Amino acid sequence: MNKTQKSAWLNTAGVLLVFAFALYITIQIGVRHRPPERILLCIWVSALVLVAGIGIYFFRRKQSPAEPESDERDNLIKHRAVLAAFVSVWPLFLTASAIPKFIVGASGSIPVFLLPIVTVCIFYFALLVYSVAVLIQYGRIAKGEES
Amino acid sequence: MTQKEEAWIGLFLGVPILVIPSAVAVFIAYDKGLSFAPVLMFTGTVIWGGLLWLLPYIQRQFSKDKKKIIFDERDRLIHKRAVMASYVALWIYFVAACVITWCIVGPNGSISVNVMPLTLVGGLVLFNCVQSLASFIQYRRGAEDGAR
Repeated sequence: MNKTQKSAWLNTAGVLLVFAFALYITIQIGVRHRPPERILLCIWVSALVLVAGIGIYFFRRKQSPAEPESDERDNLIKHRAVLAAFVSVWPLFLTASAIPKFIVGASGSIPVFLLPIVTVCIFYFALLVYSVAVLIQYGRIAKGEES
Repeated sequence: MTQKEEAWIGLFLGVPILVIPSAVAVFIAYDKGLSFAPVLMFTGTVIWGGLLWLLPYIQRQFSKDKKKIIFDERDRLIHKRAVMASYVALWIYFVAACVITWCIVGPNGSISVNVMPLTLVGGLVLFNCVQSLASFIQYRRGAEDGAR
């Protein structure tokens, strides 16, 4: 596994953790109307630190001293993944601008603090698309080499 | 049609053809609510915009000199850099839109749901302009280096 794959796995784990936490906070505050429980916050922070620590350790460690930082194939994979992330941003923003209309109606309004939340969510989703696209492409190449 | 010509078309035809009908559709929806007319206008613009993107390919098909190279490695690199620049500009624009709205209406304020599609149309304009301008700047730099 090279550095690109490692960073893709790290990003995927980090983004999924953030999404899980965001879902928990939304349910806890939005549906149950209760503050988030401290023990769960501690578990989440510990999991995030653990993922970051393990990620940094494996990211710095090379499989062999001859392993290159990145080659032409890695650059092509990264380029395609960026393109996939970029393409995913437009339908996401389109969906994000259409959903409030259906919830509050055409003449309704939304709190202004939702805008940065939506932007950050879309950014994380684009990061997830990028990482998944990288992993899928490496998976395909590995299958091709096997067959 | 070269990459440079496509950039000119994108800047001078893409903006009025795509952006003006989209903006009008969004303003109608903002003013009179969501109805059939703005949805039809927006759909028509999307279809028309899609056909506009097909224009270079159609032109290539009907071109007499098919062997002429119109998109080489340099054009590909310029296009890649221009898309990257517009992608970065797009994110900065969306962050700026959040911050500016926050500053205008305050942290406890609220905005109309119709502002979001307007922001999206603004993003489309910005993306198109930045991509075209980045292409021009890179072609100009290349021409200046060639002249030296």
